[in-house]
Amino acid sequence: MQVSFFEKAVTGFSSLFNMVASASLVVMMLLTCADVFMRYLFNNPITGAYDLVSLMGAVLVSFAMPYTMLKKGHVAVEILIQSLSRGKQLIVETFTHLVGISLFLVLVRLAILISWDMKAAGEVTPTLLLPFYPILYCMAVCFLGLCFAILVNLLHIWTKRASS
Amino acid sequence: MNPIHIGIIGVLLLIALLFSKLPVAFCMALVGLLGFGFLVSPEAALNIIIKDFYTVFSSYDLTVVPLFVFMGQILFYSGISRKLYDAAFIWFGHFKGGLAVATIGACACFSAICGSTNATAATMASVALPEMKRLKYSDELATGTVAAGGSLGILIPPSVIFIVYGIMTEQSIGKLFMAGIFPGILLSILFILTIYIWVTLKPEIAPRVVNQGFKKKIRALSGLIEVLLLFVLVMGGLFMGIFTPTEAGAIGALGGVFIPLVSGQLSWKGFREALYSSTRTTCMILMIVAGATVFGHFLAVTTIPNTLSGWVVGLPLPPWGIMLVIMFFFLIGGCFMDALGMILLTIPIFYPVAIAIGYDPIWFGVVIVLVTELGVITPPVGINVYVVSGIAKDVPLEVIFKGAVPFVLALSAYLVIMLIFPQIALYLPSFVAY
Repeated sequence: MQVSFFEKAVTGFSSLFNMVASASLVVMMLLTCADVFMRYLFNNPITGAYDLVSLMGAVLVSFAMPYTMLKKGHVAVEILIQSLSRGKQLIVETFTHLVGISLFLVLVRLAILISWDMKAAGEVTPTLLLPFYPILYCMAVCFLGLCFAILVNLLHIWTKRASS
Repeated sequence: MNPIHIGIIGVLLLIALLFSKLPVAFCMALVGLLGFGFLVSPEAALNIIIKDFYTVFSSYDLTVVPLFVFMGQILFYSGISRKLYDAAFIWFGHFKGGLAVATIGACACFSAICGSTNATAATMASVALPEMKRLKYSDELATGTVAAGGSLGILIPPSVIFIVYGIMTEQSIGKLFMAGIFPGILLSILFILTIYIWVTLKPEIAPRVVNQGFKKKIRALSGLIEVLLLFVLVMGGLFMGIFTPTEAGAIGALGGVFIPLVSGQLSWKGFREALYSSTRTTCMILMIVAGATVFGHFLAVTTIPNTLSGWVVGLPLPPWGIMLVIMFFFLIGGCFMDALGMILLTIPIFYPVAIAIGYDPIWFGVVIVLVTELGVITPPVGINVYVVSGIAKDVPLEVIFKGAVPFVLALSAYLVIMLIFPQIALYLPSFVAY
């Protein structure tokens, strides 16, 4: 019951995050096209389009991470695992999922720390002078979301094993 | 232990982790983090991993990836692939092995709007396989053709591999795209020739169909106009220096939305699916790039790339012999690993070697793509074969691999041709403005 609630919650926010990623892709496309049209038709390019598109790229990838993980969108080599017995497969997969969670928990902490540093140093984008640190906060949240998504995938493997 | 020993242990650990089903991107980031931490300092490693992730995610140059991916996806969901196949079928269907020839033709056209091998293979498998089955083509020929034809996706521009290679080696993406056109067309012709020879030797694998008549052929060309217009707009703008690659991607994506929207072929559901699929693919690609960047930093401090490239350059072989060794290495590696991960890992090692022995960086990019194409249709990790297998569920995997064999031979021969005549790839880029 708890697993199902947790899974629903993770699936829900992953979809929501992915909508943010999708929206940033659309805005990135429209902004770049608008910049090209303004440059060639009116000789007046959009100031800071470069900054905004770069930041939107970061938003796109970060917010797509939990959804991509839930949809098993990452490339992995499965040949060797498939040849193992089911028990061994379970051990290896549990290990790899825990490794993944540990790695991204480290990245959550690092993203927060570096965002504090960037805020203190006043690091901004070259043209619009937008601060970088909010993007790092977003990345930290998305890395945490990714950890939850990996955990959901691990719970899936275990529940599938238990039911079989 | 010196840094090279640590590097070798790191590479072995990476291989072990890769086979544990941990995503390729995670493996590279993790080993890079541990190795860099061991060789330099844990603080420096932690600092470098987060900076690498942030730098890759917010790289303006890499925003070209989601835009070109979206362009391909939107046209896929709008059903343009069906039109392309129908046109190719009407034109080539009555030839020997005509449906297979049409599949290669449609793959080549679809590759002009899509930069990925598996997307091209998946698209054409769903369109072409039922038709070939209906007309009693052998499973081997049908599935092998789709798997091989799909591999054209990364050679004919736009191409995700060219984009990543261009960014890594600081080469012009416009020139790389241009370099892919001639080799792409020639390879399509070579694939068609392969089908012709195969069907001539075994006519029973591809029954003939009737000629469709001239009027129908002319009408069928209307299915190609949209793709042609978009290709000319995007690539033309890029080659003439009107757009940067990111801008070309954005214009292509907007055109990709506009064309099916006007002709009423794009539903809201299709648009949403295309968006979601694009964010997923982009995330997968950029995570691999970020992981490879971290691993690349570790490799750099081990001095392995310099040592290895020095050793390879010093081999008592002529340059073409060294290039054959490099190709062989890519080929073997490509059999076991995802193409993008493989390229990102090995470019820092082999790119300096290729340049040191006098090969052109643009030509080398084309060769890398060709070897990658071989990797996607050879066992055991021939991703295109798995994609086709996912759609042709009644065809055993080994039949598809067997069907890909003639195309593997053709591609291998083509690599040798490229080695002898590098002008095939280098003629067009000489006209590119930047």
